[in-house]
Amino acid sequence: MTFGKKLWMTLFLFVIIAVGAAFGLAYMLYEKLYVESVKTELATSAKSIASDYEGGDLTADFIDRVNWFSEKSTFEAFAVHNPRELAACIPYEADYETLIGPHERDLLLQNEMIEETGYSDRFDRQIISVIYPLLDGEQLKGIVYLYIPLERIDELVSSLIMFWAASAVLLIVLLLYGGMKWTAYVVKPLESMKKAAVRLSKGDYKARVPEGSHDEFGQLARTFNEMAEAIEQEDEQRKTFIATVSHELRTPLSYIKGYSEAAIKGIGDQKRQLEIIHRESTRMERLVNDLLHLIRLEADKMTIEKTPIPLAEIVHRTVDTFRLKHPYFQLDLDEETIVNGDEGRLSQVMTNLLDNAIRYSEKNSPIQIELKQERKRIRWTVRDTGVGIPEEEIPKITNQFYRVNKARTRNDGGSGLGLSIVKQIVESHGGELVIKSKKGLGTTVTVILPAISEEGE
Amino acid sequence: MKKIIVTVFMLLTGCGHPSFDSVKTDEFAAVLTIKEPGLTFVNPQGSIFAEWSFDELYTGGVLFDDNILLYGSELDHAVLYSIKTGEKTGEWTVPSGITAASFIDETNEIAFSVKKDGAVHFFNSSGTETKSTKTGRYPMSMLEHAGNLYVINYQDTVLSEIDVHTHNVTREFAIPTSSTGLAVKELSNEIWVGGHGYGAEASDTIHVYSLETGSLAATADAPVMPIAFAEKNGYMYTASHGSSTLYAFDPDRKRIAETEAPANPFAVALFGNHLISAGYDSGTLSFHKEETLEKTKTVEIGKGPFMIFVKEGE
Repeated sequence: MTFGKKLWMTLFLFVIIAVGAAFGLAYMLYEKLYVESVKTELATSAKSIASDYEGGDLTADFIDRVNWFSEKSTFEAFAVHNPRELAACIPYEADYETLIGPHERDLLLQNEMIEETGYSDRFDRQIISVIYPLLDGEQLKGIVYLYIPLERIDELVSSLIMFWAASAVLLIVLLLYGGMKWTAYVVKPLESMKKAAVRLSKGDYKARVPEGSHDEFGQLARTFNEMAEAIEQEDEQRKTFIATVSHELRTPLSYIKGYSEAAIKGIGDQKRQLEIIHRESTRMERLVNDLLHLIRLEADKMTIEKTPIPLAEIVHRTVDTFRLKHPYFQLDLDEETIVNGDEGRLSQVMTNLLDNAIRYSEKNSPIQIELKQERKRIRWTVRDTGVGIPEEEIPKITNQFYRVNKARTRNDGGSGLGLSIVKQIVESHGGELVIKSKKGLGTTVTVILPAISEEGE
Repeated sequence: MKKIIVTVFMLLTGCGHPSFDSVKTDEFAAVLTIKEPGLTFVNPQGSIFAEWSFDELYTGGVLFDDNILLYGSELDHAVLYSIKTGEKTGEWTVPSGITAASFIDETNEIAFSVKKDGAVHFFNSSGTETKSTKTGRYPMSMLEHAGNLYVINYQDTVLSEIDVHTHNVTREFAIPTSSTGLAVKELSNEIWVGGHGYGAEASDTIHVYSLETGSLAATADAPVMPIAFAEKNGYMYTASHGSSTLYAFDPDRKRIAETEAPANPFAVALFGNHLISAGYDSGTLSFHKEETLEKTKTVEIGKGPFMIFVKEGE
């Protein structure tokens, strides 16, 4: 069952209950009020008739007057003076049903009026009755008996029921029509969201829903659209990434293929060819390694195992591995610097930064490495005087496969992933990567890491 | 010590038969009330001097010697109280559905009319049933006179005459149905039968039968529903409860006086030189002069007075 149907059925149920309850309540109220008013009227009439009684035996004139009243009024009325009807013979065993019982007689003798509602054997129907005593001193000379059959009230109520039933049907129809419209209005955004979700799931990342209102549905639509936007971007990035990776791999592969074919055919300098094949396969290896690295970092699969590490030692060790490639380093290291981090990852940071600095610097230009502990952080700086980066390129420099040199000449041979990896590692250590550069003057890369507090971490 | 106190307390309060005010005088009228079950004793001056109240409803009784035997139409026992001491002196097992009782001087027996089996049951003075005699449907009013017990069968059209020695029905008089109330006028050897009326129809007529022939001798008008009688020196008095009226008839059966009775009177009696009548609705007892019926006194007697017992010396 759809949500719309559920909503509609709930509404339908509520409408039925509400109309039914209103009907029942009104009926009860009507009957009660009406019956009460009839009783009051009966009592008033009985009292008024009884006020004409002047004591002594009931006269024919009095009885006639009561009969006249009965004819003219909506009530049935009669006067009774037969003592047998008035239960005068109790305590003798009554051999027939008297009009009133001994209890009523006692009440009447105390000049109390009796009101009764219910079935009367005497009249064989439901009645509302009022009995008013006609007392002469202590003697019950008679009674005035007024009643109205309940059917007359029921007749009135039944006409009301017809009116009510018609109103109820009209009300139900109106409410249900309104309810259907409202349900459709409520369900519409959900429907469009469902359709959009289906399109998304089938790969149509351009699917969006109208945002319209400012209520919860509008908010949900906006959130949905943001989600769709994110998925679309992610998809875009994935496509770009795959395209880039394919492209990056194709260049060394074409080298390898070409030179290996030449070697097989015995064309050219075989040693030279093998050197190129080796260089390009090394490049590919590095590219694949970097990629794997990056993917692991992004997927958060590579857990960072943090231990207190003297950072200067990492710097020394890494610099030593680069001395063959580049002999000229200027080190300004605070040897006391201890950082809480993953030794392997931080070595990677140093390696990637030095690799970049050396790659884009003249062989004899100095590369400066500084390591300084400030109050709560450590500044780890690598500065070169190489080609530098145009200012507008700096924000994009940490993007994957981004290179300043778009020509991708293999002379500077980077994979375009180094700074991406550095950024990931630094951020996973709670640190920050700051790059400053001027074209032709060199680049300064600063890694800011949180220092171990004195309380110890 | 505690045990003694508890025992004394129990003796004083709980167990044992209830004891009422003793009645030392031989001249009183006792009025049985049934809305609030009790017996109220009045002296000839109209002063209440003793009041007994009961835990169960007695609808009638009979006075003999210094005792009063009380029965209830719904009870299966009758209780005997000594008037002199106010103590309960016995409890008889009787058939339930008793409508009337009569003391028979000649045999010292009590007769109970019982509606359920349509019979009169005779008990000796020690409370043992000696005989029962079928009379008719719903025997109700009884009167003993000259060796005969006269019984009106309320839902029948027969008045039965029972010989008190043989306990056999000797004669049956044809009477209207729903007759009630009975009196004998010795002077003219006749029996007066009151009328209640059948169904919604209220009777206004007293039927007078000759005791000699058993036939209707006369009728007398006493509206509405004459049901209780008292006779003295040939003067007959009746209470009509439907109109709350007392009537007086002279020895020639001529209505010589009528007056308003207490509301809804079921009992009338001669007491000293007064006619007294008790109103069931008003709860009062009124005193009237004989013959003229002039009212001299009204006494509040209790709720629902229904029967009067009179004792006037030995």
